[in-house]
Amino acid sequence: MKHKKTVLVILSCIALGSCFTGCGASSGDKSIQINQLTAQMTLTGVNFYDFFNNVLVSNYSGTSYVPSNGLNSREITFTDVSYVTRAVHVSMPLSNKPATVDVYTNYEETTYDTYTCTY
Amino acid sequence: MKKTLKVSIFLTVTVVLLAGAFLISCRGDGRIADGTYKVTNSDAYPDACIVVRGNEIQFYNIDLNALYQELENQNFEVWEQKGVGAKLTEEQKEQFSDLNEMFVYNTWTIDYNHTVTSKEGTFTNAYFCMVTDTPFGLILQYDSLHRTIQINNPDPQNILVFKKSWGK
Repeated sequence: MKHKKTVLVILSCIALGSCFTGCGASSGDKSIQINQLTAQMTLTGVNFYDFFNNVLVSNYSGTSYVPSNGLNSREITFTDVSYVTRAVHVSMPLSNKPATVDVYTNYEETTYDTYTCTY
Repeated sequence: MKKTLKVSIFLTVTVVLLAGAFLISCRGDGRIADGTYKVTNSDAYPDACIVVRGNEIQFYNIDLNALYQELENQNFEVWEQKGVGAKLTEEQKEQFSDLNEMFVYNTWTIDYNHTVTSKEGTFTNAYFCMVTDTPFGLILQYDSLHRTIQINNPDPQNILVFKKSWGK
């Protein structure tokens, strides 16, 4: 019985260790991270209506390229990692560095999700 | 039985540790490893390749303008309409949209500290190799585990994949 418990504990440790080894970076937190110096915007788990391609994008995570003046208005135009140009509407310009922002999820801008912003 | 169990556990732990060490070594520092990467999926340019030396890359045997210039110009028009990005003269637009000039006839330098980088997976980074504040350039996605570089594109059929050839 004692040996079985020992084996179980060791195998559990190995399984846990394997899970951590080479795991992806996703933290599960929904957020928007801006680095104006390098012109990049990282979205994690963000839902948004793409006003350029007229499509709802769900649970988007990735780093995109934001051109200058791209954060000065409520419409953020950016190029994503697949070289697709997209446009997202937010409640206020991110150039103001708000702590949170609403991101609209429909064309009429009547529904939105709120995200924390870091800079 | 006791001895067999101990040996089994020891071997299992050893295998897991070795596998972990191997995967961590493959992760590297995220930079594209030196070497020659040959195209794996192009009928039009079967001899195309990318040579990587340090932080410089150069394409050979490929017409990047034919493949991607039209999309680049479309994206630039969108940026212009939206009033974002750098304001370019016609001359600059022509110069920056010439991907062959930037990536085939010359080397492109990836400044890893300042290039927009998207982490696409444990072993995969995408580098936005673009002229500053313009949509002109290429997005190169590097998989350090499989040693491949791909040119990202909205059309999956236009995504070219280059695989590192060993011994070079």
